[in-house]
Amino acid sequence: MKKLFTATFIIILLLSLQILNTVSFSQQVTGLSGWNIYLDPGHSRKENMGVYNYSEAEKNLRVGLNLRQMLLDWTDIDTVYICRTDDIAQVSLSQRTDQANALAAAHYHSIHSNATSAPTTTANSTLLLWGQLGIGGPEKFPNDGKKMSDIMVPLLTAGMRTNTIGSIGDRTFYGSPGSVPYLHVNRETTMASELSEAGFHTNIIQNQLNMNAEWKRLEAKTFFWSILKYHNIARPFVGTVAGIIKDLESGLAINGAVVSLNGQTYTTDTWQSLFYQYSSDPELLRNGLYYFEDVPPGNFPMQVSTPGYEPQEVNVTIADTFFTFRDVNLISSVPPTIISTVPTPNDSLYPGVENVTIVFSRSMNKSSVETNFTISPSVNVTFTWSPDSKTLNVNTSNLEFNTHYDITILGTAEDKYSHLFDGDGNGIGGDSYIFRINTKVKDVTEPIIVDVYPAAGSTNIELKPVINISFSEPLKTSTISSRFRIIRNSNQSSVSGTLRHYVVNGRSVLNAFISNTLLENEAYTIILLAGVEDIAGNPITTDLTNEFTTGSSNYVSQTIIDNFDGGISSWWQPTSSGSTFGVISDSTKISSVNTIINLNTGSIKSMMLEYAYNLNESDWLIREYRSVASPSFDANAILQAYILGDGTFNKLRFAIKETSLNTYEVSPWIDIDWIGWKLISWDLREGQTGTWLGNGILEPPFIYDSFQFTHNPGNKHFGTLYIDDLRTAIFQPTDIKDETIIKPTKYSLEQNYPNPFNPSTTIRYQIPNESLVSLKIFDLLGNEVAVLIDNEYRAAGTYSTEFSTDEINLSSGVYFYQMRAGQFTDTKKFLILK
Amino acid sequence: MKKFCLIFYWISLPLLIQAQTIHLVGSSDDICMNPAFSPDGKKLAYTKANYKGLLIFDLVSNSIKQITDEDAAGFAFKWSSDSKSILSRVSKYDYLKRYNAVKIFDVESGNSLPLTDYKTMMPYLPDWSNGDSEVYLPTKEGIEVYSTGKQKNTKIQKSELGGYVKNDKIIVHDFTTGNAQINIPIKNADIINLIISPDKNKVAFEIMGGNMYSMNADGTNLTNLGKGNRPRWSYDSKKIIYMIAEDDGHTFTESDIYSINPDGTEKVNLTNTKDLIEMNPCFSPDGKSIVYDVFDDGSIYLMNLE
Repeated sequence: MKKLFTATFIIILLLSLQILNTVSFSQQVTGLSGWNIYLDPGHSRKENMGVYNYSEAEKNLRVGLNLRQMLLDWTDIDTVYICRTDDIAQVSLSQRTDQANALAAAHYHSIHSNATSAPTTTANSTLLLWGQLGIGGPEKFPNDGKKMSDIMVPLLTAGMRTNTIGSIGDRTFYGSPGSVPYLHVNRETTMASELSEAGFHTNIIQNQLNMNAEWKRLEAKTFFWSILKYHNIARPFVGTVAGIIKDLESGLAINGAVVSLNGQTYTTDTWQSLFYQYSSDPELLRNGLYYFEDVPPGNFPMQVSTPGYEPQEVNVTIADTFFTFRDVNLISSVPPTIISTVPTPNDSLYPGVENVTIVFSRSMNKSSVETNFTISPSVNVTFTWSPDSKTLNVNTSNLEFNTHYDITILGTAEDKYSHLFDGDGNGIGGDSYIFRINTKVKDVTEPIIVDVYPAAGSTNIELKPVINISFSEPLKTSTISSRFRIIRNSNQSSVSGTLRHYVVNGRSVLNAFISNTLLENEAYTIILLAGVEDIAGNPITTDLTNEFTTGSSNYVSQTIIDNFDGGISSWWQPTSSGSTFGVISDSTKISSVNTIINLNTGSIKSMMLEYAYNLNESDWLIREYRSVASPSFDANAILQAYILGDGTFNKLRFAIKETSLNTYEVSPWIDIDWIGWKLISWDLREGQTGTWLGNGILEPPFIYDSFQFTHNPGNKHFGTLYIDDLRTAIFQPTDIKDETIIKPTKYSLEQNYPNPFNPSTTIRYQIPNESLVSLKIFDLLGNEVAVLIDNEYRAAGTYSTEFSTDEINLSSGVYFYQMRAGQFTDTKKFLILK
Repeated sequence: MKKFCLIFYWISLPLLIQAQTIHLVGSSDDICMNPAFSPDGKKLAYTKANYKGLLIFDLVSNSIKQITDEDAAGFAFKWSSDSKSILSRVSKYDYLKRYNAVKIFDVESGNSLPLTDYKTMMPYLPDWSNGDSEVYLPTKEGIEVYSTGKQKNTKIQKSELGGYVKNDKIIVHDFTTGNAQINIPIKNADIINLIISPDKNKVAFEIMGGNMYSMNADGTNLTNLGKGNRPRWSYDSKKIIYMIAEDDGHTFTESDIYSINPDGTEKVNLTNTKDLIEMNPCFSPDGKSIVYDVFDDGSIYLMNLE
């Protein structure tokens, strides 16, 4: 009966492709009779939780069930075994292989996905691992797991639309010496075996796709085809169309898009249909995936529509031997409106210094906007635009002081896609937006110095302070540097360093970063000479001369928790934490920056937190969570971070986890009453705590949990903070010399410890003479994947460098680290296990 | 018996120094696993990674002999009661298909007696019956019985009984009467690693995705023994030895060996180590010692329980 159906199908296919649009293309495949397979959806229950609360184990199970269905329904395979069929059973490794061995299955396929230690937007590759008799060794017995892996990896990779690490022997991949396969499923199976890793469940895009039911079918199909190819069986006509529906402008996947093709309809996942299981935020999750099976050969129009977007129709040509991938970008039909202006309506600006800035919701037709721009009283203005054509800057050089101006964007202005401007924001284009701005009275007063650190006459100042001078208004940068210096009083010598000028919340702040530590118990004077001007050209008329005296102690860093130089992959987005509430999600986020950094420690990157509290709420909390459970510290530490404050008087605090009790303590709230960089401390020795989840008693050991922030009602509800060099420190006299230091007699590079590791390890090395040192990490192919020390001079001594995969996303496997110092070169190997 | 005791004393001598364990065979470069005492206590049969091959460690001559290198030979093999033969299901591949055959291996000569042709689809394991004079092999359709050529050992208790599993069913077959008793300990729970006690009165088994259990052969007195893997009975049918292994989904992370009474009492951790992964235990016939393997170390050890 099966043969008859197949023959009939072929005849029909040859004679009349046009009339096949109602025929099922899941036809019977022969050639697997006498063969069977054991499917092992890796892990159990909700193990190996991925990003956004969807686990690898859940994904693996459903891929396995789909593959079982395909093999049983579409082929003449004898038997398909599977080790679990629900999210309840906790199936051990020994049970999986014992059952497969008892059943004498011909092949063992273990289904997995890969992971990084923290959510990632980049790492997302496939991998196939076959059993190997030692690093670089041959395949295990029985053979053919490698054959299946070699076939499977390109199909899986193309199906996942990503890249691959490859088809690799498990001993070589893990770099762990041994004479038998490394992975249990390759080691204790009596049949050909392999293990697949289909992307990363810690990849934020991939795991939102993993949530989709048909995406798992897509993965299963690549395995199905691999099995056919393994047996040299021709792949039947595929007729499967899939793709991602995205917003053209934002690039975000669209929930609830309705896709129609050849009589079939698919609606992309929505919060109501799927994502509510994983997030309470209806806007957080999206994948935009659509999927059709049993599409006949030919060209078909495909319609895509969803409220708020222009419907689209695209032509799709159905591929016969692989998925037909067809992504569609939709154009929003929501007319452009104004998101914000600076100044805000009825607020003021200083003409010629401050511009009018108008931010549109969508990319605009620039000439259309400029044509439909009016200002009254009439005055000549010039325009500049941001690269995305969303932000318009209007030059105000010709505006008069102390005058009202009415600015109008007419409703006939258009966006880039010819939608009429929606001035009143009611969703219907064609109406104007009018707002009034005022120009300030001409500024004739000099800037006022609001605060200075160290304060005049202060004593016992640490030996490497961040000098901070804040002002009442913005300064003209060009007037500053020649007038600033720090003098050692005893000999009038200048202290060297770097001066940075920031404008924060409409006020200037100067931060001076001293190059070397100051001398103990020494008097210094901060000098800012008269002549520094505000943006209106009004100079400060008196010199600032702040004298301070250093003490004999300094903050000494004990352990760097995170210096942010490797990025922010260890940190969750604020809204990814369930503890965060009362914020505007779109406006509350972290990012890594390299422009505003703490130069006091030689930083190269910091973490920027942009936040906006929702004033419709009465409570607010941002938990900026760090996902790495190391390093550990005790109650003798001073917890410190450099924070560039925004002067909003909102609050921040430190949070730590008591690891043995599995609970949390926080510091008392700290008012953010400063602008510019400042070293913030929580001295755990004093035992002062705030109120959150713990009992208020500090019970070590600790790991760092989070920075936390809250709104202080009556103050500005949004702002931007920068965080750098989170560490534990001690404040100790500097005259304690370590007399036991022994100068190394030769160059050496030690084996890292721990090894294997996840996520961090320490590399020690010795140099007998001052040398130019580099320390780099390479993958198995010799590609440089990380630079820990980049040609930096080091004095003679013994050094330790910590390396963490939280900062640089690397997959599990063997890597090499190489040190060069002068003429000395040495290379060693380490293993990352995840 | 006297000779065995003497030899065992010799083996036991180092135990006083080495915390009552002695390394018998294997290393990280020569992984050995899944040891089982012969009924006379004079030999151990064991296998290599992937259960490839069968080897005999002669405790009398302290010598090792490989009797086969066939794939899968070391999985679920069974000694004959006279300690002269081992029954196993071996496999080979031809154009990706797995062919399985039931064989009896002569421990001394290494010669094999094939009981079946090589066949695809052999999802059941063979076992001795009728005092080792026969071997039975369950099939999808029923049960096949093969003559072994051995004289019937009349000292084996209830040797007419044999057991096997089909999904959630334990089937105890009487080869004399042809009757079969079907028990379903836990509905819809797949059973693995079923073993019948030497006195044929009890069974022990694992539930796929669940715990280890004991039960009377008549289906009564089901006892949940908690988490456990790969149970084996003591020769007096009074104890079960097994392992409790932990894994991370990729490889074993820890394991210890336990003994327990079939009623769930007197559970004892026999190894209790944090850094060693002890697995696949087997009682000696006199119950005074055990053999087991250590994961990654690749060695088989003997532990004196006295």
